[in-house]
Amino acid sequence: MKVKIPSPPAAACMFLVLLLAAAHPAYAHKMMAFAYIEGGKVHVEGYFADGKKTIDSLVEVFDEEGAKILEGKTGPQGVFSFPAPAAARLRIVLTGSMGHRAECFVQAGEAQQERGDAPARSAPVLGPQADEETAAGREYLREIVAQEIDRKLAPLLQEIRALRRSGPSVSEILGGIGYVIGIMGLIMYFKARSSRGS
Amino acid sequence: MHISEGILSPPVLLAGASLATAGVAYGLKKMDMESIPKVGVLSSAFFVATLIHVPVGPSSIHLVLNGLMGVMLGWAAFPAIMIALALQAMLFQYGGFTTLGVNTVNMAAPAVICYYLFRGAVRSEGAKMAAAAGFACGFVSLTLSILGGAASLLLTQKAFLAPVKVVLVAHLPVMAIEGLVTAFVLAFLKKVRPETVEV
Repeated sequence: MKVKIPSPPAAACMFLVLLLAAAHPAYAHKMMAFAYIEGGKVHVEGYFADGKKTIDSLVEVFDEEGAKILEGKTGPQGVFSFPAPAAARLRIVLTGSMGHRAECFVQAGEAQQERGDAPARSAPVLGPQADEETAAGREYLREIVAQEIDRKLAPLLQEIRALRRSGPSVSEILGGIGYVIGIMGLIMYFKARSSRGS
Repeated sequence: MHISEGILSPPVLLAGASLATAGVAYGLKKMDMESIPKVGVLSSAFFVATLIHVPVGPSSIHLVLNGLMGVMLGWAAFPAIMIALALQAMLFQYGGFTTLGVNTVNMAAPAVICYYLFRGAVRSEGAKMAAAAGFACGFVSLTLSILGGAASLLLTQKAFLAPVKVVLVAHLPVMAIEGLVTAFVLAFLKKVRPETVEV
């Protein structure tokens, strides 16, 4: 049996398909970082603009004064988690390969502070014993409510993150092309004026 | 190749900005009335091509097209690329305004180099010769862009650099795709609108 040799265009197409299959995923894509607190831990997630997770990228965490608290690397799921520190506002910097860098902020300490302060502020004036009891009960209730809220909000947060990591929309791209046309019009205008002037 | 803000050191940023300014000024001077629409079209093409990731199999790629721009625009590739990059920084936070100069140079300088290297061959009568030159143009311009990006990072801090060889090898498929697309576009334009390939 004779082996059929593909025609040059077909061979070129096959070659192209093979190349595409081997293409490197993290090539010159925009990178994004998100951080959120869940169950007393801060989770940092990184994505490229096409939705690929950033694996094995450096994560650095800074406090309000700009001092580095800790650093780590994202795991195979593109997530890096660490126990929420006391600092109120954390700046998180994610550094990828070839000049990619993304930053995000998370309010870490605030949630905890509120939990600590609130009972003192709003404790009802009862006997010292009752006060202790209600405080304990209050703390317990607060824990349950917090857990419930975390659970209910989880899908919503997931959705928000998915929205934020979606790529540029068609209308934005068309807007950009419109700008280019406008700028070219401006250049034409000035060129025409200067050539008429000379 | 869209290097983000806050990575490069001030001297590198400054050098990039001054080189880009000079290139853009010269490009604007070289641009005549008739070539302005062409610059606009290619600027838009670059804007879209570097923005849209085409999902292919397990990964996704995007084109850069700076080789094509170089051969078709010459020095006008500088303003064309800078306008597109500025819009991307403004609308999508791709790259950034402080790194605009460096990114412009990294993509437009290879375009101009390819213009001088391949303009004769691309315009030659032989279809095979022109196609080969088109492929080389896309391939070489992207290679130079990656080297430029690597050099910018290396000048700032050595630790940033994954070994250049590894990065280049990883990008080989994308360079080849870029070369093929450039060759196809040039061949097509030469057939239907030969005047667009003249600079």
